[in-house]
Amino acid sequence: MPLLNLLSAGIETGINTLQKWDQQGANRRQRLAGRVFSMELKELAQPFFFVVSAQQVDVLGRFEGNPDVAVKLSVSALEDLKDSGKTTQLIKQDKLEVEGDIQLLQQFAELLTEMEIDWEEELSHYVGDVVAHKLCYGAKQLKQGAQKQACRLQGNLAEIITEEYRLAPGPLEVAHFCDEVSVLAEQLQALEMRLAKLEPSCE
Amino acid sequence: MTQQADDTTHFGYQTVATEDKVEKVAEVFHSVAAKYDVMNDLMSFGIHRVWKRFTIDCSGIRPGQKVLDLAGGTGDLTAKFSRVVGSQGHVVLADINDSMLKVGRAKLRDLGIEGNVEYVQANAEALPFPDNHFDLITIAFGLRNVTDKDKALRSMYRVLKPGGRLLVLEFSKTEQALLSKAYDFYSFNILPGMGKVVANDADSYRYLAESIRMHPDQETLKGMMQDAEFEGVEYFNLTGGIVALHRGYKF
Repeated sequence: MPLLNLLSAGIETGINTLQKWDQQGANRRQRLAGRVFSMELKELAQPFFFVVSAQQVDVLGRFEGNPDVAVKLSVSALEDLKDSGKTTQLIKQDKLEVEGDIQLLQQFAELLTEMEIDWEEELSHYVGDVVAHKLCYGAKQLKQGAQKQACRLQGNLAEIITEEYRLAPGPLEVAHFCDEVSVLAEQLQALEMRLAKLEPSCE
Repeated sequence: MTQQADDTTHFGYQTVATEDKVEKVAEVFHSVAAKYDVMNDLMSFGIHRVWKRFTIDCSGIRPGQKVLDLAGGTGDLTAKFSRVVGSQGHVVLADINDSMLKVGRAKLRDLGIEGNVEYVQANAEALPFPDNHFDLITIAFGLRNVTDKDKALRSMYRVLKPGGRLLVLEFSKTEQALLSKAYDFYSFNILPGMGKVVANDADSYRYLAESIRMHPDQETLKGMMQDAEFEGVEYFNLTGGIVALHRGYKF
């Protein structure tokens, strides 16, 4: 039992740390204040209860009232919950069982998954503005560089395949081949027409 | 001789006059109030949070209910209850010690807990509330310090609504001999030292260790709750019985 308490404590701390960083968090919580959501993961034996209040989200291991929405789902479906179009699909696939207001549930999923977090700002509390900016700038540069490298690598690889080892044709070759095929097709069509013209006279 | 026995009670391992105990306990908590939360985390290695979480799970708390958090100290339980019962509910944080109450109130205000919480300085033996008033009463790490525990339990029974429940979270007796040895060593040799370094008060923490030993064990407390007319009394041992949660209902 205390192990489960430890788990719920971890979940609660995680959610609320992210909530504190999320600029929209307070507004979203205000809208859902006083609502209770029961969430049972198919991978776990016991449901957790999420009590939303203006201050934070509380996670309880047991709750004797009636939750506003009761959900049973598998972990893999959590991400798809955001997309309202997919909800019915998930229910049909038996990945999701819902009792209660689906709209509320979507708002709750939004609260947990669509966070606007300014990482640079949060980081600056710990290491100062300058370092935070440098780090975030560095990370951005790194990401761009990696993207560029990936792009180049892809180009190089394509060139090796088409030019060096000739495992696959290059784009010009393909175009040329396609042209030749269409010319051949035209010729064939012409030949067919001529044959068709000649055939009746043979009889 | 009997007269003398009636007039004294224990304060840790010392025997003091009954009317002095309240004052002596008050001194202890005035002294530790400011560092109370830090010391709790340090002394229990943060496990007290798990104990309190278990208590809340056992409370059956629902939106709209009335809760009394007795000896609520710095308001750990109150904060959670306040959020769960919501704007329709009501939480009373009661403590006999005004230093603790002040620290608790400041802390809860900082957390944004307001509107449905009331702060009352009250003695658990004579609760200043009407009969059949609360859905839930909790007393976490507080019963130990009450002078007349039976009177306090009867007083709690009186203010509890029929169908309501009482939760007593308190230090208790460990079942395993080895754990008990380690625990004794820890609480008599290490704890006062920690108290000296952090809160600059070794005596208060020596009192803590002693008062835990003087507190009735699981079965005795269960009997005391039954004597105070609580029904369906049961207890859960936590962390090998270092702490026990007693639960009783009023029907």
